[in-house]
Amino acid sequence: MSSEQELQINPIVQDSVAHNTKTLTNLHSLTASLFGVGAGILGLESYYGFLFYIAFSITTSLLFYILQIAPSSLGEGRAPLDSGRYYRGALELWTSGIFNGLPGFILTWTLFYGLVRA
Amino acid sequence: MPSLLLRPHATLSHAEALQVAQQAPEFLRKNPASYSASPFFSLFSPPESSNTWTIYENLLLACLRTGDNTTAHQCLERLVVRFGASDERVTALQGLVKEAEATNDSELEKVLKEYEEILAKDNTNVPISKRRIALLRAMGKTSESIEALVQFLDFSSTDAEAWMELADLYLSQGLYAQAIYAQEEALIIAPNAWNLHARLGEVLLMAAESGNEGNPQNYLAQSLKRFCRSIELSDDYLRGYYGLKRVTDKLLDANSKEKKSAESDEFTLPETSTIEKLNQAATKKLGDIVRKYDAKDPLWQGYDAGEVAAARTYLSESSQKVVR
Amino acid sequence: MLVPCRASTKLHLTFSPAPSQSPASSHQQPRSNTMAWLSRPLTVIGLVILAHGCYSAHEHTVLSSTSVQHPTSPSATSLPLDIYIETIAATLLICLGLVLGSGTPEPIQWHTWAGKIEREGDSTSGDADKELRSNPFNALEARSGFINISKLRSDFVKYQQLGK
Repeated sequence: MSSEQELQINPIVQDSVAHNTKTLTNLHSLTASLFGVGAGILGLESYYGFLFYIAFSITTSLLFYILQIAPSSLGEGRAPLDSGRYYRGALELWTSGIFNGLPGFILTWTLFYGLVRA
Repeated sequence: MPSLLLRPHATLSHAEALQVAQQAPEFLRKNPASYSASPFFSLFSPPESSNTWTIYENLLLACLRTGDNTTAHQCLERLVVRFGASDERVTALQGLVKEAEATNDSELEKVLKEYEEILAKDNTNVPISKRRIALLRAMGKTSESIEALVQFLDFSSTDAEAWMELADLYLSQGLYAQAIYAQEEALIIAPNAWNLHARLGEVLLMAAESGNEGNPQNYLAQSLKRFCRSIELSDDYLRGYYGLKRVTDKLLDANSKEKKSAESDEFTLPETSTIEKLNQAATKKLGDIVRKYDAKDPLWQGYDAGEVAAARTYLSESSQKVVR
Repeated sequence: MLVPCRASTKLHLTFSPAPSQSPASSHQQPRSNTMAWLSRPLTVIGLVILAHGCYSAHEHTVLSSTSVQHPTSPSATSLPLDIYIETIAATLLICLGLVLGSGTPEPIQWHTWAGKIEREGDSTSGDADKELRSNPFNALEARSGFINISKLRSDFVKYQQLGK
C-alpha cells in the first residue's frame, strides 16, 4: 500500500506532532545548556566533554521515555522503547535531541570552563 | 471551568448554558473594557488571545439564551469596541441580539428586512447570510430557507457548517436522499470528522428505516460503512459503536428473515459472518464503555450521560432478545 | 431521532470529581499529573547544589594555583572526588526535574487521539493552559452560525419552569 493511501486511512494529527516535537526540543535545549554547565565545572576537555554530553543526552531521552511515554505506550501494547505512539520516526526521540542541543552545550561549556578556571 | 466557556454554544444543555451565563459578570469584570494598542499598556493588562473573543461570543449567546439581556449587551459592547460595528461577524451578532429581543413576528420581520438590506449591499456577507437563513427557518419558512442556503452554497461551497445545516433542513423535511448528499459534501471538506461519519450513518439508517425511497438494503450497507469508518477514526467512540450495533442487528435480522441476496448494487454487503463479528465487537465495546463509565474510571468520563444511558438500555434490550 | 443527539434535552450533567484511585489499566494521565508538581522543587534544589559545586570548583582552582606547596601539579587535573559527585548528582537532579516538568506528549495517530478525546472529554482538563480538549468537529454539528436563538430562549424558559 502506498504511503499516501495509508495516510488517508490512518491520518496523523499534525497539531500533536508539532506539540510533541516542541516539547522534546524545549527539553533538550534546556538540558543541553545544563550539561554544558556541568562539563565546564568539571573542567572536561576535548573528547571527554562530548562523551559527557552524549551520555547525558541519552539519559535525558531515556528519562523522558520512562516518565512520559512508557506508561501509556506500554498500556497500548507496544514494545518497550517504541515511541511510535508519539513520534513518527523511530529515531526522532533518541537522536534528534543530541543535535538540537549541541550549540547550547558548547556555549555554556566554554563559558563555565572559563569562569571556573579563570 | 474554561473549557465549558470555549465549547460551541449550541452543544450546551440548558443547565450548562446557565452555568456559563452565571460566569459572565465575573469574566466581564476580570477583563478590561478595551485593549490598548500601545505595547506599554499591554504589559499591564491581562493577555489577549483569540480564545478571549470566542469566550465573549459564547457568553453573549449564553446570556441571550438565559434571558440576561443587560449582560449580553455588555458583551456585545466589548466586541464592538474591539472589532468595530461594521465587522461582519459583529453585525451578525448584533442582529442575533435583536432576534432574541424580538417578541412577535412583526419584529422578526423587521430584523429580516435589515438583513436583506445589508445583503443587498454586499451579498457575500457570510455571517449575515447565515443569520438570514437561520431566521427564515426559525420563522417556519423552511422552503425559502433551503432555497437561500442553496444559493449561499453556490458562492461558498467549502463551508462544511452550511452543508450540515442544509442536510439538517432536508432531513427535517424527510428528504433523505438530499440530506445524504449534503452530508457527503460536508465530509469531503472534513474527511476526518468522525462525528460527521457517524451522523451520516445515522441519517442513512433513518432512511433505511423509513423505507420510502431507494433500497433499504443499500442504505444499510452504506450506513454500516460509515459507522465502521467513524470508529476507525476514533477508538472508543460510543456513538459509532452504538450505530454499528444497530445496523448490524438490523442486517442480521433481515438476513435471517429473508434469505434473498441484495440486488447487484454499487454497495454490496459483506459476508454474514463479517457482520456477525462486527456486531459482537460492537456489543463488547459498548459493554466496556458503559461499565467503565459507571465505575467512574477517571479516564472514561468524557461521555455524554444521555448517550451512555441509551447504550445501556439498548444493550439490555438486545441481550433479552438473545435469551428469548 | 434514533440516536440521542448531543444537543438534545439532557438532564443535569455535572460529574462529581473523579475518585482518586484508578484501576491498573489506566494510562499515564493521573500519574504524570501527580508527579508534575515535583518538577519545580527538584529543579530548584538541583540548581542550588550545582551552584555550590561551581563555587567549590572555582575556589579549589584558585587555592591550588596560588599555593606554592605543589608547584608540579597542574591545577586543572585534580578536582576532589566530592565535587565530581556533587556536580553529576545535581545535573541528574535538574534533568529529572525538567523531564517531569516537560508537558505530556499527545498521541499522533488520529484514531488514538480522537479516542482519547472521546473517552476523557474535557472533564480532565481543569488546568487553563490546556488547549480545547473536545472534538474540534463538534462545531460542525452544533452550527453556531445558524443558531435559532428565539427557540433556545423559549426552551430555556420552559426548562426553568420545569425546574420549579
